[in-house]
Amino acid sequence: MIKRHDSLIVQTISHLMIPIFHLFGLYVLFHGHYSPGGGFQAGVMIGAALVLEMLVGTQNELKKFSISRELQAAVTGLLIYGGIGALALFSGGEYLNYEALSFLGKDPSYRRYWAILIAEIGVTLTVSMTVVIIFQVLAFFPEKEKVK
Amino acid sequence: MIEIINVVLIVFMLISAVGALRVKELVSAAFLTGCFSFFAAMLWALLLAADVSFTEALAGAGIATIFFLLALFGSTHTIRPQAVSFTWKHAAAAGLTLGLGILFLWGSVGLPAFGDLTAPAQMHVSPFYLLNTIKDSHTPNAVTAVVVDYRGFDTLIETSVIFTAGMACLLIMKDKAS
Repeated sequence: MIKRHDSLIVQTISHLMIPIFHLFGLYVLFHGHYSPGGGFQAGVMIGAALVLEMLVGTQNELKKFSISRELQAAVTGLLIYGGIGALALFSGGEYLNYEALSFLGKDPSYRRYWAILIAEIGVTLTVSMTVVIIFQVLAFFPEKEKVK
Repeated sequence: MIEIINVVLIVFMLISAVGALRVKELVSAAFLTGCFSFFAAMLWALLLAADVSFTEALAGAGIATIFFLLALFGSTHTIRPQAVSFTWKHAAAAGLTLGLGILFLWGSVGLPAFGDLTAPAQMHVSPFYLLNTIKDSHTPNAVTAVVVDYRGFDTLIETSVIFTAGMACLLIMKDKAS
């Protein structure tokens, strides 16, 4: 069972840096078209920021992390990615053929541009929530009995 | 061309990997595994593979080390157990592994030279992807375009594999907690 980190320096710096990590993770996600990055990198970075929150958070702050909500968010991410492919199938093209999605604009290359972004958002959601779930399982579950 | 810094980084990777296998405290072994990932991230950055280097530094040197340390915190075994004595079985296993390594090295002689521009991997689909990403999807980052657009099906299944790993971890530990 992980206790809250009790060093004042760590807590202060974390409270300053956690919003910056989240913001940088979102930057990496949305600039995945132009700079190195994209869905997986942004997902791991946002997951790491949430893990840091759980390491320095009080018991009150920890209450908002519930595993069922995180599972729901992870499944939503997967459904976003699979769903954009299915939407392409229903709009007339093949599965994951983004050029068939007419609600994203007239030019086929811009349709692919926006569909790539939507798929990356789904990937980021799934990866970040999975990192948080695995951390919570490893840190908070073996409460009284230690694994022999 | 093979630069000296690549060789130095690979030697450091070898040293940290062997150290992670030989050191007695398992917490130190977890940190040495993170060290290995860190040197690998530097190597990928030197080879100009920016996306891979980014992911290796975050996931390998960051998250994986955290998970190893958490697993060690939840267990009572934090010292590596005593090694058994060296019998003929160990000698046979070592010999077989050495033979396999020699086969690999012999096969690698036939591979194209490091950085060869006419290698088969650079001639088949790579030029198509590199020349057509901006025209097809206005995405200068070719890695993102290949991963999500040209080979999007693989990424979908990979995302579901990541989700399954998280679910499996949850199901295993929930059993122990209740």
